[in-house]
Amino acid sequence: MNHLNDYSNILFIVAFVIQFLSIVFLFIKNERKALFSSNIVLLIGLIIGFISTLSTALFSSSEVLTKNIFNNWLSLDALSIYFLFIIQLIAIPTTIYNFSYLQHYIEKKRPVKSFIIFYVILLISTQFIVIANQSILFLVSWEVMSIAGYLAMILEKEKEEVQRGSFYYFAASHVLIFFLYIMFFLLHHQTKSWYFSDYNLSFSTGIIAPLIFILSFIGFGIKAGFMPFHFWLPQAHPIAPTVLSAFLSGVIIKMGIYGILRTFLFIKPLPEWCGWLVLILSMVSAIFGVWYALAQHDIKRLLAYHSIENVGIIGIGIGIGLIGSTNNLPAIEVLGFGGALLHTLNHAIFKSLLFIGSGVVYQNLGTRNIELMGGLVHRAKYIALLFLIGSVAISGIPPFNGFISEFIIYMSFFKSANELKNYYPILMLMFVVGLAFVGGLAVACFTKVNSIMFLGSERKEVKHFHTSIFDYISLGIFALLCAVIGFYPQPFIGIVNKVVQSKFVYKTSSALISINWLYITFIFGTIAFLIFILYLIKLKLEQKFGIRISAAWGCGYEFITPRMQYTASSFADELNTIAKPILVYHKEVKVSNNAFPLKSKFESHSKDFVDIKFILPSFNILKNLIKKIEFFSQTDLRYYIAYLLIIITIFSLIAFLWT
Amino acid sequence: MDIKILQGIISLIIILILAPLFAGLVNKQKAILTGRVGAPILQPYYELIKLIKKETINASSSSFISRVSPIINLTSLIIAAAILPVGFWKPLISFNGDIILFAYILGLARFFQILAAMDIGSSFEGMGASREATFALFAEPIFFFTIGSISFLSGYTSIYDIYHSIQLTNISYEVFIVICSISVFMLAVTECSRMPIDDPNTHLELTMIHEVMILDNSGIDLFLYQYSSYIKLFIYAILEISFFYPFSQQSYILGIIIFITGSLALSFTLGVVETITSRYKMKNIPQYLLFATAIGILNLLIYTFTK
Amino acid sequence: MENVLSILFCLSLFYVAVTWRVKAYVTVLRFQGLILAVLLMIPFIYHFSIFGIILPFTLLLVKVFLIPRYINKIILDLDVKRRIEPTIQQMFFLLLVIVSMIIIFLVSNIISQKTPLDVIPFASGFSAIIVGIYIIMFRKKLIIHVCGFLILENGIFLFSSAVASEFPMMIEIGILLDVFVVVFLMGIALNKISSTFEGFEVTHLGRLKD
Repeated sequence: MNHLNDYSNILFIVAFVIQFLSIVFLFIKNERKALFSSNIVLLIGLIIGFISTLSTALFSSSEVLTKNIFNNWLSLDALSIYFLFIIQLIAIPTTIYNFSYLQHYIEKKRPVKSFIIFYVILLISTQFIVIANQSILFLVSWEVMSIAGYLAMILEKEKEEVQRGSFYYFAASHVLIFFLYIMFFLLHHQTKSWYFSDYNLSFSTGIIAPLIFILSFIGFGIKAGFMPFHFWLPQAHPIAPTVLSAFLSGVIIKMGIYGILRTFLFIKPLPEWCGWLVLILSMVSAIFGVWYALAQHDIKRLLAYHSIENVGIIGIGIGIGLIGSTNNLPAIEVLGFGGALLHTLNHAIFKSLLFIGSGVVYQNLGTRNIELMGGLVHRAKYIALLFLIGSVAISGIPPFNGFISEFIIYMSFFKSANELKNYYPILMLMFVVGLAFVGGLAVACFTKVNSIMFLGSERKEVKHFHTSIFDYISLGIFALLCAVIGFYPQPFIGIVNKVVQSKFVYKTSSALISINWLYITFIFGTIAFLIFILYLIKLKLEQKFGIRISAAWGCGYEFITPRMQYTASSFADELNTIAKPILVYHKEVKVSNNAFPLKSKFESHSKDFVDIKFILPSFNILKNLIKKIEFFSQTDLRYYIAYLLIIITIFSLIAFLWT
Repeated sequence: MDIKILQGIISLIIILILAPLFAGLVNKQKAILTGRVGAPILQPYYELIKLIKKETINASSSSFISRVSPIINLTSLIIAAAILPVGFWKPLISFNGDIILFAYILGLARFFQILAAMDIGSSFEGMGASREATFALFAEPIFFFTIGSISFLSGYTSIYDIYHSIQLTNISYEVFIVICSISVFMLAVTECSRMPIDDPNTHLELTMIHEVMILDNSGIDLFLYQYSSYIKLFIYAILEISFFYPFSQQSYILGIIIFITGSLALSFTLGVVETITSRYKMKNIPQYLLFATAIGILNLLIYTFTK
Repeated sequence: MENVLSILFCLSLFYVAVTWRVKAYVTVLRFQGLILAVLLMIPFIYHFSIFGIILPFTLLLVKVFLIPRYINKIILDLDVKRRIEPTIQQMFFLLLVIVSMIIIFLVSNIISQKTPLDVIPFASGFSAIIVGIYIIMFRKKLIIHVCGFLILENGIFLFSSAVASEFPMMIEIGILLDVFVVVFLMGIALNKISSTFEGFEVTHLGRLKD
């Protein structure tokens, strides 16, 4: 066992070194060969890292799982291993997709090499964040991750939307780091140490623990995308290159979740209002995240808003777990945190699947507007099928993995109604209804996306549609994971259970394991079997009685064009109108009034409420304030030297008078 | 163990066989109330058999989804029917938490039906698909506020256990159950696309939600869709009848009598409601559903605060 | 028994929140009057006393027959359009009513642990007051305002029947007088206004300013 531990230690270091080395390969002269080889080396590094994570996870029991390497600066406890597993699992297929995606940019003569450099730095720093045990190392890797993300995002920096989106990302990242700094300084002040393993505050009373929690929730919440701090997400995710969008949405957001969970482990008993705060904010994020998604017609912005919704669902799990931990009910804690952790993994998988699918479409069509797509299933049947698997999974529908994690969160609510009395059952019922509402909205949103993008006929003529084998490999790996976790969730439930039992609860509880997972596997297997049998019967009957293809019913109208199909705006119109003030949804219609109709125009927009009502006005106020002191900035150098002289004089006077 | 599985299979087969009969009963009641003789009660069976013998037609812009969706519909409804208790027997699928599986498996059927509707690429089906997505969204809370609230109060999470815990002992519980059943009735009307939400008789584009989604199918596809809608109606009828079932007294004869009278009474009520009401404006339907939810919430509040 | 009547009362409040017809308000007023009369008659079912039967009887007469008939006459005379025009979307109104009702029920449950009162009639009466105020706030027609005010008075009645235990008579007689005065004034005022104005919306009354 010891040898294995040492080997996996070495493997870790080797993995990081190889990933870093992939940058060196970028300096080969031939651009295509350089990118290819550096990608392969990066992939090898990631796979080695993944193998070492798996071996550490599988071959050590949960007690031994806390290892400290490098003088206690890095530690691999259960939570870190789990998140490392997620990062590497997502990074591998995403990097495989790199092979085909970057061809597109090479043809356009973009600075792809700098993109790869920053992508590699982003990967490495993200992996360091989850295994860091020292606050300063954590903060430094966080900064490096933010900056690398920004620099990788600005691949097409001459577009105005790219500049705006990346600026939102950068500004939000730095505001949140400010909160993190304050929080870590507070923690240091309390315990006089910079190491995570020494942070075991248990203040059940007093202001420090809730204050630290609030700071971490705001800070990490901005990164994760809880409402109302979400305003940067829909600006930043659409404009980034697809590989980076997938990684941002799949992994980087989860770093916020990791931070919240890690802070919870520091300050374990929290007052109950913290759990309620997290629950309510997450419910608001979930409902309005998906409602905003319903109103968008840019595919990546829609997926970004969906990430907000899923982060809300993870937050609901965390909230109920917090309430369980305050009331000393390990069953609720296990179910709540377990559901949240499993949903983190699931969301990373299917969100990356959907982003890469939309990237394939964007590569070929050149536009992200779904109102100009349609009929793509006839061009690329398997991409449509894989995207469909992702959509079914993200709506939480059986038999895929979204259902499993939502099921666990539902069970946590039902259990909590059993164990907590008084008002709790009614309030928990409201949350159950809210979750059902969110699921229904997600169904509406993803049927809209799937059907407008892939089904029907092409709204705008598509000249060519190339897909390469790497698209299929990366999408296929994700879809296979969705199906595996959905149909056979037991091993994954076991892993999540180990993580939760080792760190989060004091008493063990078998609530997560005691759910009859084998039964569910059996039911899903029956579903697949029945579908297969019925399909065979249907084929038989069609052979006997005939099958033919004919035009759709058009009510006798002769000249049906593809533009006459249902559009995305009309599909979602009724739902958007209900929430009109919050979605800032308005439509502009210009109809021609002639007897023989000429061109008419219809536009529908939805802007972000927090962005328009709070962020932009506060920037304007700031701008106006700064204008007033504008006379301080001059072009002549001598003024600055005069300022320097004045400031130095003032400081030395103060220093002189103080001593 | 074996006898339980046999009982479960028999319950499932009963539901699958009797489903078109219930729809036929409702149509017959509607006909009698409007002064016609109407089609025979077994008419849905004749229609289904007729549909199998026809040829399948697919629209020219459709894809594999149109071919797969009817099958997924029927499969998910069979699985949903296997979760329901018929009489005193334990259903074929029963485990802790199957209430959530029930709600979401109906969601699976709905997802693929909407996709198949949009697949045809014409605005008629798109209209139906968009409406179906909106109204199903508001119908979900009703389910959780009625059956979910009984589950929360009794502490069980399996539909079989929930219904078995309904002991009609004190009068406030009886009032609670009666009003729950009214809410479930409004839910049934919505989900099965009956008046006042949708008209299953006319095939005009502006009145339909369910009928327009299956407009371009025929043959075995239409058979699968029609049969699924009959099973769905019967599933909601069983959900409704099981509220009044005497689960505490294990007498089979009384159970069968109540089952038959309950189905007849329910089909009569449904027929009356369909004949009397006119279809609501589409804009007002979310409000109607919110009304049903409000009744459910009020019910729960009053029940918890009388204790 | 009181609980069942209060449930029916609350259901009628929901009906008022969703309906689009003006006549429905009058029907609901009749229904609520009937419920209140039955509620008052409950303590006197077993021991019959003349004093106990006078008040419910007058209540029945006034709330179920006279006032709705009067309002119907006004609707007919002034030829009010039979459809209400709300200021906010209908669904938001219902959502607002539901949320207020939940909060009122929770609050009254908390209060009932300090002072002894019946929770359900108390909460129903209070929510009727709130719904009456919402109707006045969110509807445009004047006749609907009168109906909203009457619903508010019904709510105060139900509310006081849950709280007061001795001498409920005085409160109730006072309320009846109150109602009469309001309806008469409204009728007279509306008749006089109708001779100078055509439509009946609150917004039109704004012209009286400056």
